[in-house]
Amino acid sequence: MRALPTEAEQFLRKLSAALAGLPSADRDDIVAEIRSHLAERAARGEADLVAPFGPPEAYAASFLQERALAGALARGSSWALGRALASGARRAGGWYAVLVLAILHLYGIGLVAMAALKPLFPANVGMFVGDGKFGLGAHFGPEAEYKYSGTREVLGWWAIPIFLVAGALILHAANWALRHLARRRLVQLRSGLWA
Amino acid sequence: MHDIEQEALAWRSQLRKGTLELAVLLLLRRGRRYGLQLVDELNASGFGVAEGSIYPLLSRMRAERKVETEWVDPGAGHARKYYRLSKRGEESCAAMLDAWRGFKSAFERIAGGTDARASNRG
Repeated sequence: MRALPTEAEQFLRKLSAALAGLPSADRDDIVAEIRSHLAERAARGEADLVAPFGPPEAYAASFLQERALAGALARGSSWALGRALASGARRAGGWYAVLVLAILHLYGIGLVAMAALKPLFPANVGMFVGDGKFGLGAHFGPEAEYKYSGTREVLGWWAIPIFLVAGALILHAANWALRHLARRRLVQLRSGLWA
Repeated sequence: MHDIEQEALAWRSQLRKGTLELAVLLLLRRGRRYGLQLVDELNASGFGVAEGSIYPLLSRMRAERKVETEWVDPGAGHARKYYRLSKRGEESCAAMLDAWRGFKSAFERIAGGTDARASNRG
């Protein structure tokens, strides 16, 4: 590999450092590609190789956010999507939307977990009604015992399908909303509205 | 006058940003290309592209599995990273081209109507 001018080597070093958020194979691949680009320009006898790229930190940022969003959309993982959206949120509104959707996800997971707990603790899981009180979920310990005294679990074994379906619906809706947000953000990014 | 030129320039840059992906897909449909080659072709065609903006785009297209990559050493002292269109990239290219053509003809109907009125008046 032919050596590049000092200025170009320095740019590549800073770029690599700023791309630290990526898996190292991807980072090395990007840096190698820019190196090849600069080497070919240098071989053509061109000067001022790195100026068109702007500051290395800003250039690295243009790789990171789009990639995180697009990759998460392709993989379909809610966790990756939420992280990419939250880290890229530039307004409080965007951040709150992700927070609300994260809480919804937890609710959905909680409902599914309760369906799984019902066969193990039939008396502690379900919907509790009576004595002017109402409770939904799993209740353990003396405090809950006192709080729900006089109530009766009314769902019985129906609790399992009801919690499963409700949990799945909530998870599905939250995931749909997350993907919708991510797609909208990508469109904004690509059309340069936020650039 | 200066402001209007500035505005038109900014608008052109927005148009480029919005259509760069389609332009790259179309070039790759003709065969594999490496980054600088794409930059050169885009500039030669008059499309005009900022040198660095191609790589984040290509990186994202790869994450979306629209392109596949391959390092090739032509013995020029540096290896080149070539991009080729995947099946998914071809489909994406066809869909975007459709959308672009629909948009373009709609726009030309509007622009044509404006021209006709202007010449009627004149």
